[in-house]
Amino acid sequence: MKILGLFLAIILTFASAAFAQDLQVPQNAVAGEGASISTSGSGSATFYLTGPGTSLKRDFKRGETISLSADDLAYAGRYTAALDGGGAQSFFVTAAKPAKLNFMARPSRVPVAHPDVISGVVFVLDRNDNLITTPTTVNFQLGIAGSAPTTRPLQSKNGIAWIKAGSGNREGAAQFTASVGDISAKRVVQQVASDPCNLRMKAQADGKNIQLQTEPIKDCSGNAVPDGTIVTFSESAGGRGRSTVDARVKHGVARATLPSVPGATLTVASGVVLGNEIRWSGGQ
Amino acid sequence: MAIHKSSTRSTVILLAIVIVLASAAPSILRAFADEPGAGTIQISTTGAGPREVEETTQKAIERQYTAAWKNMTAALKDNRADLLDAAFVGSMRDQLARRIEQQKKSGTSTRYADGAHQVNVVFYSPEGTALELRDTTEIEQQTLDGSKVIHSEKVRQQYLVIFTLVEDRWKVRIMQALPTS
Repeated sequence: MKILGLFLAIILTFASAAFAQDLQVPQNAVAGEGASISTSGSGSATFYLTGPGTSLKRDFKRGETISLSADDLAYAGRYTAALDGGGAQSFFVTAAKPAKLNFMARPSRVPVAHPDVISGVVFVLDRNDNLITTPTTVNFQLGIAGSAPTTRPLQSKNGIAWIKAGSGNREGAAQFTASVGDISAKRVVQQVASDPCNLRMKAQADGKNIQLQTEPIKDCSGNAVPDGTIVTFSESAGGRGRSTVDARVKHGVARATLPSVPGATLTVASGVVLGNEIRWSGGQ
Repeated sequence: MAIHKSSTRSTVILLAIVIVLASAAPSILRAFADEPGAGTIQISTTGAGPREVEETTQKAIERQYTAAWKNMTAALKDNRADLLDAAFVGSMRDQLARRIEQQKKSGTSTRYADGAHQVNVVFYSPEGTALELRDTTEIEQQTLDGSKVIHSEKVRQQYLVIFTLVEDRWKVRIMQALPTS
């Protein structure tokens, strides 16, 4: 009885091996390129191919070669070829050469002269959106018109390359580019003036009031802060109260009118940046 | 007398079996507890970067990846592309929809049974909108023509999976089987 079981097992092993050899699947198939599967034996059979994005069923004559089109093998991954009478073989299709870069750049607006505020992530894809998992050099370039761009080549890992970069010193639309060979993807990062630097104001008597005006407000790199930036003027007169006015920057300067209180202290600030202080003597 | 002797022997054997099973039960139960069940997804974030994976994100990914496998399995079994939208987006959704369309035309279907998944987060983008996983799992795949099973196989497979944040939900954008080394 044991001998019979062993005999049957050997027959089954040989039979399945024989069925498997009915199909010769491609060894180095590439996504988006055609391939062929050769068959052996005689008689009609039905061929099935399942894989990413594909499910084929075809009648054919054993011994013929089955052609698979570029569209049949559009996607990278594992494919299984099977025959209805038994027998199956699996094979892998790898991604083709880089053809697309899915480039995410964040944020779209950054203050100038800040380290590591811009991030770029690139997914390296072939023309059918398959992820190219073999390491690929991605060149990242960040620069503003009129100044030399910063370039950094980085190697992709598991299909992804990423970078963190600092913003430049000049405001304006910075071109953020990722490229692999002659394929590139471009994003624009708007660099805006940073916080005000050396905030200064002057005061002038105007009847019973004081006219306050800042000097042109710039950041530490010399870029004019955008109009609309809030500047706070304050007047502190000891026991006689305190007045505060929030003014918006217009044409590079901010203005405010406060009541004239002799002996009061006038201050100016924008965000966390403090400007100069004036002790008001009553317009003298 | 003979009958009595035989029944005593049976009782002794039965008792011996019960004792052996009872003594082995704790180890069997422990073994089952250690072995993650079919379809369970355990995500490890060790070594993920450059951004640290938040606990809420890890839970969301676990939930969405479990849903992705469940929906993909059901969609390919019943040829229903409408089941894909909840968990897939972009080229991965298109790829599965195309396969379902071809299955419908040829009257075929695919049955998947996935085992436990060992998942590692290998990348989480600095701004927190894309995440890449490497998943190792054992799957059983059956190709059916009508109700006839054409082929059945069990394979250990590794996948690279890219999730992207779509509106307020993580969805699978790429899920690519890797060649076994």
